[in-house]
Amino acid sequence: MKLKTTTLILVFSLLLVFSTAALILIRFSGKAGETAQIYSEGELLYEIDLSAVTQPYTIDLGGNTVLVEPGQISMLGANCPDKLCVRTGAIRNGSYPIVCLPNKVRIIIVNSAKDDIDAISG
Amino acid sequence: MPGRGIRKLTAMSILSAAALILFVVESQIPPVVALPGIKLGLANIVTLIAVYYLGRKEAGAVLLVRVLLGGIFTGQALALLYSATGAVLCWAAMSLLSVFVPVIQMWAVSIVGAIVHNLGQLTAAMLVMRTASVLWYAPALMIAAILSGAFTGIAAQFTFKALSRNIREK
Amino acid sequence: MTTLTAFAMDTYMTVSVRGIDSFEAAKAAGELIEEYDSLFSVSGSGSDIAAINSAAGEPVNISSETLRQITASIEVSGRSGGAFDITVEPLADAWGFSGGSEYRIPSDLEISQLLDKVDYSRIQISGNTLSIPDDMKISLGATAKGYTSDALVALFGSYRVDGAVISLGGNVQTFGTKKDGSEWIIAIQDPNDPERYTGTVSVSETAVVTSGNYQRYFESGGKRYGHIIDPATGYPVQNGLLSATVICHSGLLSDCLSTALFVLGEEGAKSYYETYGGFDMILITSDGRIIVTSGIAGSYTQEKNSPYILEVF
Repeated sequence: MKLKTTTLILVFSLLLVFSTAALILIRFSGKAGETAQIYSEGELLYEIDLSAVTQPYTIDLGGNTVLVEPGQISMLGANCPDKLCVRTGAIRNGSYPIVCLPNKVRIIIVNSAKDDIDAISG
Repeated sequence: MPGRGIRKLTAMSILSAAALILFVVESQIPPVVALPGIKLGLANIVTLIAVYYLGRKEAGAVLLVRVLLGGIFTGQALALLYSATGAVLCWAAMSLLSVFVPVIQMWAVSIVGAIVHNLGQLTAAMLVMRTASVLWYAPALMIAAILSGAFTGIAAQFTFKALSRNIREK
Repeated sequence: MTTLTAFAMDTYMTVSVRGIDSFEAAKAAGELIEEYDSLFSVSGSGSDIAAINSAAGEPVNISSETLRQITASIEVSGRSGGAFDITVEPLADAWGFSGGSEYRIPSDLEISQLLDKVDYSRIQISGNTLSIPDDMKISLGATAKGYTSDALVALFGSYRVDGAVISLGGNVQTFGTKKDGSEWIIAIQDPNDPERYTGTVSVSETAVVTSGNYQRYFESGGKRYGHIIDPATGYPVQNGLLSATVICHSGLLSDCLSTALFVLGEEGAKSYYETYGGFDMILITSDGRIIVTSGIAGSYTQEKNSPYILEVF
C-alpha cells in the first residue's frame, strides 16, 4: 500500500476545507437562544435569561468567575493555568459553549422553549 | 563501541528528556487559539522520531515517561487524563502507520496522529463532562490537528534526516 | 429571569425569579433553602427536630420557624381528626421512608406497638419550648417545603422582584406576575404517568401543593407501598385517592392540607372542604375521576386526551 504524496496532500486539504466550512457554519449559524445555563460537573446550577439582564454582575463558582451582561455571558476569571475559558470570550448565542475542562464548568446558551407551563405540582 | 542495548537506552533517555523539555516549554507559552485542547504539540515531534528511529515499543516507553513526568511537572491532574488519552491513541495510530509509510511521508503520519490525538481528547472530555456539547469543537480541533500535525511532522522529518546523517557520519 | 436549582430536603428545587434584583434574590433564596435544609432535617447538629427527638421527654428550646410549622400542623391534625399527624415519624421510619433506612414491611405487631407512639395531642408547647414523650418522634417532612416556599415569597418581597415561581420538589408557590402580566400556569402531575399531567390551573399569587403515594414508594410482592402513612392504621394510605392537590395562599397550610386530605380520602376531604373551606383542591381517584372544587373549576383546563373524567364539587 503506497500512497502518492499528492494524494495525501489532496486528502488533507479536502479535510481542512470541510472542517473550515463546518467551523464557519457553526460560528455564524447564530443558533438563536437567550437563556444561559451554567453547569458544573454536569449539573445545572443557574439558568439566566440574558435578554432580561440590565446590569452586569458576576457569579462566583469557586474556581471560576462568570460575568453576566445584557445579552451575553463570559468567563471573567479562572484558577486553572491555561485560562482557555476566559480567552474564549463572551458568547451571545448557542453556536458554541464556554468550557473549563479543569474545573468541569460549562456555559451554554439555549433557546428557552417558551412553554406555557410555569411549574408542575406533583 | 558500546553495545546496542546501551545505545538504545541512551537514545531513549535523550529523547525522553527532549520530549519533556518541549512539553514543559510549550505549556508555558500562552495558547494561540482560545479553545481547549488546541496546541502545537511540539512533544509529538519526539514521539514521531522515536517511532521511526527506535521502534514502536521504545517510542511508547518514551511517551509514557513524558506524559507522566509532564503531568507532574505542570501539575495538572485532569489535564494529564486528557493528554494521556490523546497521546496513547496518537502513538498507536502513528506506530501502525509507520509500518508501511516511508520516512518521506512522515508528515502525513504526524497529521493522522494529531487528528486521532484530538478526537481522543474530545471523547475523553465528552465522558468527563458528561455532555456531547463539546462536539462543537470537533471542526476547530480537526483544523488545528491538520495544521499542527503538518508542522510537527515536517519538523520531525528534518530532525530525523539530520539525525540519520549524523549517525552515518560517525 | 434567573433560575436557581438546588438539591435540598431530599428533593430537587427550582426557583425562577424575574426582576431587577433577580440574581441577588435567587442567590438569597439558595442560601435560605440551605439554612432551612439543616434546620428542618430529622438529623444533624443544626436541627431542631433532632434536638426534640433526642431530648428524652425534656423540654427543648426551638426556633420560631420550627414552632410555626408545629402549631400549624397541630391545628390541621385537630381539624382532620388526626389524619394529619407529624408524630407518625416512628412508623414512617419503620417502613423505611425516613432518611437512610431500608424499605421494609414491618410486622403487624410492630405496627400496633408503634401506633401507641403516634399522638399529636401529646406535643407540649409552652412559649418557645416544646416537649414530646420520650418514645415519640416528630418530623417536618410534611411542612418544611411549604414553610420554606412561604419564607421565599416573603424574602422576594424585600427585593426588586416582579415575579417568581418556586418549585420545591413539586410544591409550587408563585409570587407576583408573569412577564406579560398574565396568570401563572401550573400543571398537575398525572399520578399514573408522572411524565405527563392531567391538566393545568391558572393562578395568581398562591401555593399549589400535591400529595400522593405515587411520589415515593417501594414495591414488594407485586404490591406498592407509598410514603404517606395513615396515622390511624400505621399502613401506607390506600383509600382510592391517587393524589390530593391543595391551592391556597399559604404554602405551609397547603403542604399540611394536601397530606391531610390525601389521608382522609375522597369523602373525608370533601367534608373537610365543606366544614373549613379557605382553599381549593383537586382530587384524583384510582377509578379515573378528577374532582375539582368550584372555586378553581373555572381556571382548571383539562389536558387533551386525558383519561380522567372531570367532576366539579
